[in-house]
Amino acid sequence: MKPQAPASDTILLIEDTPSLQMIYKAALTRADYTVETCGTGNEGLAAFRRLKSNVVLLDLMLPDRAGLEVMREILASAPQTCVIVITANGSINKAVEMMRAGAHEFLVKPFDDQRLLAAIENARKALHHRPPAAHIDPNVQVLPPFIGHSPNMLAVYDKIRSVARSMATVFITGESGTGKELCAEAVHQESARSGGPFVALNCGAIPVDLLESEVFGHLRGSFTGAISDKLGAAAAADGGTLFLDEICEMDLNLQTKLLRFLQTSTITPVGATKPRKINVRIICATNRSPLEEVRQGRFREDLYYRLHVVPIHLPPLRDRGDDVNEIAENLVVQMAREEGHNFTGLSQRVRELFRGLPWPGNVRQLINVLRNVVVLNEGPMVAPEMLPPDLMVTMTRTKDAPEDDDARPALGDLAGRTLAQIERIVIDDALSRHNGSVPKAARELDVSASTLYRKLDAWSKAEQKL
Amino acid sequence: MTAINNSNANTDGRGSAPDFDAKVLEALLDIGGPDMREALSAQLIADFSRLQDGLKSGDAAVMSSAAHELKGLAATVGASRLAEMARSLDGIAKTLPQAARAVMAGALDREITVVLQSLSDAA
Repeated sequence: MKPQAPASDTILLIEDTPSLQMIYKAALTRADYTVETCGTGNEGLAAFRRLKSNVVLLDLMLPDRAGLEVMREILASAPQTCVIVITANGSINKAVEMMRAGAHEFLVKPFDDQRLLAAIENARKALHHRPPAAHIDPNVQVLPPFIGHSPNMLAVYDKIRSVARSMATVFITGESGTGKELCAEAVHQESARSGGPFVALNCGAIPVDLLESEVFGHLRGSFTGAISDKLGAAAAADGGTLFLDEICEMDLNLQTKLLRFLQTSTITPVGATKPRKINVRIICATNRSPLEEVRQGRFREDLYYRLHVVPIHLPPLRDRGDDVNEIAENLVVQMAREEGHNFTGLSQRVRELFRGLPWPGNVRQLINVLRNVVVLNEGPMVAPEMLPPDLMVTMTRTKDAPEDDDARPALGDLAGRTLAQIERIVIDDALSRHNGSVPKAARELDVSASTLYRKLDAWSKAEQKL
Repeated sequence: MTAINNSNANTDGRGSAPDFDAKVLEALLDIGGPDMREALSAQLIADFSRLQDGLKSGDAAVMSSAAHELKGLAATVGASRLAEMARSLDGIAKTLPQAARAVMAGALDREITVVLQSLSDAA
């Protein structure tokens, strides 16, 4: 005899359209779930008080109360509950609001039974893997591997912890070097999916022609050069998290495919005829303003609303108070250990300097400066004279001098060269200043990354001919 | 709950979406097995009829609420064009002048009648 499941295993379905209630209930019953249905918010809350259901399917618009209000009551009494919001097409903004208020996931009508069952399964897995509340120490606020106690960052840690428990898509913004990938990894590590893969893909570092295959995979022979089947990043991240960095670099055609993937949770590798179901959480990041990209027509608005569910903005280092010194103290000791040198910290003068500098390259720049110091000096304290000479000059200029658009650049060695030669010098210089990053160089030069890839390819072919 | 496909695309120019996808409805009616088929057909007919009445009421709030419910229900049963029309009305019902609301409600009424006929045939 089958043992009786606890009442909390009963899925509570709050949906006011009777026929939809019947349809969803039938799909769930067929998959062996026990379901209780309610047609109003008040009935739903009464049933929830009785059952304490772990998973609630909640329609956004109910005749007596707003779905948001109902969800807030449920989460206030049982914060661990996974609420899956059901919404009609065209109400995405409201669904996003629900996700921000703590919903686990949302389903847009019409959805098929596979999508419904996948959402329920995800929710149940999240419950199963959720760490017991007793293990969370409220006094420990910093979220490793992040370093820093500034109020800005404490708010970020809190947000990461809150969002990790849901399936909500996270959109990370922040200047270059602020730790966007670290943030994505932290969301993954704090989530119920931490046992699954974390796959990061830099959309800006891959030529447009190859990006679709990198994300969705391809079958052998599907295009010239496809000598074997390739598992794309989405499939590789199945059961875990897919991190799409520099999402605004994504080609518009591929944005359409990404949107379809988000809507259906299926992928169709290049050359394949049948779609494949994938279960991933999406986190994306950009150092641009995504809304501005939408306004400029470079980023699909519908995709923006799908992705921009829970935004996390990482503050620049200059806005993080004394975090710069806390990070530097940690790093310098760690680097000294790696290099076999004897550094123990920063001098007071360096601490003051670091606090006042604008750090346009953020933590990444700080790391480079400290590595330079540790490699070239013995220690024990980082002193001002050990700092790279150009640091103060460059950073003071960045900090103090507003951009002078009218200033005429010195022609120097460029005089007498052809326009094509000058173009190459400028591009090489931009690439070298950005450590070879084509997307970053392209952004600085205000051209598309694909234009730079095309030029680099042409130069490479020309050199091979010589 | 099969996803909508466009196998029955309508070509009479009334809208870009197809009128009705019988395959979607068939799959839906079979979701609970033969025992449930009759009950689900009857419930769908009752729901569409209730929403049709709501649209005829002329009251902006009632029409808006009916249009909202209708867009999800219509899309689920494979009535793509009806879903599209309901979505259009849902966004603007409360701000539209009464005469314009009546025109849109009339078009929706005709479309619901088509869907109700399909439901009766399938039952």
